[in-house]
Amino acid sequence: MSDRFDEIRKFVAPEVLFGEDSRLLCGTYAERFGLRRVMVVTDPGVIEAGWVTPIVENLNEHGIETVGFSDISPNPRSAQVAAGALVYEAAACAGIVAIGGGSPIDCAKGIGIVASNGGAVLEYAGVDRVSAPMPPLICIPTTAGTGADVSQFAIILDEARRTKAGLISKSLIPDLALVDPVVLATMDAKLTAATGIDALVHAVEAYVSNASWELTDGCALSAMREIPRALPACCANLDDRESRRAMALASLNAGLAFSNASLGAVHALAHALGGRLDSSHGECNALLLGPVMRKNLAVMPVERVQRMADALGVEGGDLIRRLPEWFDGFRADLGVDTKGWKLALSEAEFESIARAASVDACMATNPWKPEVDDLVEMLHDALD
Amino acid sequence: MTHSTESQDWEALRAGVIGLGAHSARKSYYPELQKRIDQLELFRALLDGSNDAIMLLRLPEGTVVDANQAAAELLAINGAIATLSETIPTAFATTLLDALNGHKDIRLEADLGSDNTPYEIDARTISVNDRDFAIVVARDITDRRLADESKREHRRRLETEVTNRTEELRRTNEQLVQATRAKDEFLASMSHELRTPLNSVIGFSDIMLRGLAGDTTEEQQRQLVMVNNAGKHLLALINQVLDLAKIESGQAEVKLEPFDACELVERVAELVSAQAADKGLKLEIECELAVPQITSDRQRVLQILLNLAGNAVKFTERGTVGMSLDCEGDVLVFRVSDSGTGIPPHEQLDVWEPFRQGAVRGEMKPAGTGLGLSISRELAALLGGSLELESSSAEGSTFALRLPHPCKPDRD
Repeated sequence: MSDRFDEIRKFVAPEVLFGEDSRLLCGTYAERFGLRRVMVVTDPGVIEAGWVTPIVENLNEHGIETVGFSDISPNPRSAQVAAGALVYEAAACAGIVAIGGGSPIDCAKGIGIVASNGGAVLEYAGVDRVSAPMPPLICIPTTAGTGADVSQFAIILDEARRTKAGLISKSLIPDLALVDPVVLATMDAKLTAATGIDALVHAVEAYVSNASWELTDGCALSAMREIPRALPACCANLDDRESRRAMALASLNAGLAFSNASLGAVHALAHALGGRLDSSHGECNALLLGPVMRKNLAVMPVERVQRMADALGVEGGDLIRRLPEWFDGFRADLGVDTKGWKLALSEAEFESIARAASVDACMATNPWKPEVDDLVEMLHDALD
Repeated sequence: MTHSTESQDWEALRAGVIGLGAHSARKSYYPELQKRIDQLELFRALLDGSNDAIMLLRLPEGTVVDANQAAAELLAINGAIATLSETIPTAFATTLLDALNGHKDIRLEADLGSDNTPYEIDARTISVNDRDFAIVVARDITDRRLADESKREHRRRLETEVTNRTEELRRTNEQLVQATRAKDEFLASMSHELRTPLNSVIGFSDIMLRGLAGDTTEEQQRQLVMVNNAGKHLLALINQVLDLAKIESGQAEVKLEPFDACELVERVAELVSAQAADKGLKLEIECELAVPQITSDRQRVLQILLNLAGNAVKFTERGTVGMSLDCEGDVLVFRVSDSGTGIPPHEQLDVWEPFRQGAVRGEMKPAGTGLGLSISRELAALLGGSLELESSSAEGSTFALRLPHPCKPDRD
């Protein structure tokens, strides 16, 4: 946190409806937005889980036509965004309803930007590159962790360069998030863990960000207080209504925190690593959190580190050593590790990943500016 | 904290990331939206400014979706959306919608509104977002109707006028025909009814003068001469009036025959020679023609030339009366000239008028009827030629009679 007397801060959030069955307000709100035909962006897993049909029916009941688009893989590709934008254009839609985890929501953001700005989605990769706002976007997150339903971020896979392109713009913030804990029930334990730990990483990185401030701290610490208890409980019993609600709220808090305070080296490295391995965003983040924090916490004011430890419920003397260990242990207990990963990265590849991460936009808010060598060291720490 | 060498760039990047960049205002479409709203307001003003009633109807039922001010007034709706059939005569609404549902463009006329104003209505169908609409433009054509009416009225008046004028002309024509018939009848009776008793006057006075009816005193003789002369004068006058009338009414007949023009001129000279000799005038004849043979009406030509020569002798006190014949192109020119005092310029046109006579020196009244030149000119025209006063000055006058004639001898 930099000098609070020097800087102007900003906090942007979509309209949020939180609570069980809030998803069923979709038709009411779409009608209120004046939408007559919307594109429903989702993925095959969500359709199979049975969440899409009732929402389409709900929209139809409000006199809104729907056009479906579900050709989306985890880590949406720029070509899928282009295909979606063509469908959007051809059907003359006026808005988008995204139902799913981070992938369908990020893809929907990409489609929205192309629909109102034209061109290809990768033209808008980078910071503050989107000039025209996208059409109305309603998000119904089916995982608790990505925060995509409230954030100004979208990650699209650049197939040609084999890297994840980050789009950061206030234009990417959805208009409405219907955060409904009910839909979390169909996730399995593995997905619950991977996405839940992602929420934790968001909260931690937003908290240590050099752009954090009182509003984002409140959100981040709130998420850190819930996740250590609620996430294992959720994974153990998917029908635990109370924990599910707590995770939905934690994910929302973490999302608001990182959307406004931004992130740091964990995400910078995860983007570079994930692009190379096409591996899950949540898992990459979880693996990198401990190693990056070993370096980051060292530059943090002691009282801020203490407050973080209090929120997480971590006790002990040397918190700068103790907290990273706790992060590694927490993810390992949830079954997130490198077992089963075919990691055969050469030293040159480590360096190229580190080099890519060093220029990632997330690095702008890391509490310090690591050199390439520092980043290589963190990668070894995480993957060896 | 490690500081990057490119700290400036990182600062800008960081500002962008936390939402302080140039495009960070989420509602950045507001200015654009406001601009569109302004444009819409202008467009609305444009529509409302039109005197034509413009409205948008949804098909097929004809709900009025939008209407400009003129249309709202016409339909008596105040911003509220109504169905067309509720606001204008049902019969007309049905006609319009039936026509529209079958065609893209229609035009019809109808009387609308509370005061039954005539309107010309253009309508065309359009499709927006898969829904059918009709754009209807109704134009008040009261002025056009009035203009048409006044045009029709004007035409009616013109037609009446033409009919009246035609009738007038027909009547005038009828009167003219009657007048002509009356004149012909008059002339016919003149020739008979006047000449018969006049011949008696002349004939019996002749007989008395010759003493065949017994002796008469000197005084009686003198008076009988006066009766006889007056009778002859009257007969000549009647004959000439009849002549002129005959020519003018196209009843004069022409008898064509070949004759020698020089010989004719000599004959004329012969006829006026005694008179000329009385006044001590010299008569000169000039006739050197390659082809003296001419085909015309000998009697008429003689009449013309005799009139001219007689006039010349009558109005000339001393000197010469000359007659000449010349060929000019395809025209034979008879010229009769004198060495009289000439005709004053202001009288030169009057000489051709009937009953106009020049003054003969030493006499109170000129001898003659005053019809000679009029008749001569008509005769010249009748023969395909012309008669004109060629020149006139204090040294004398020259009249020229022109008649068509092939002046060059034929090859064969």
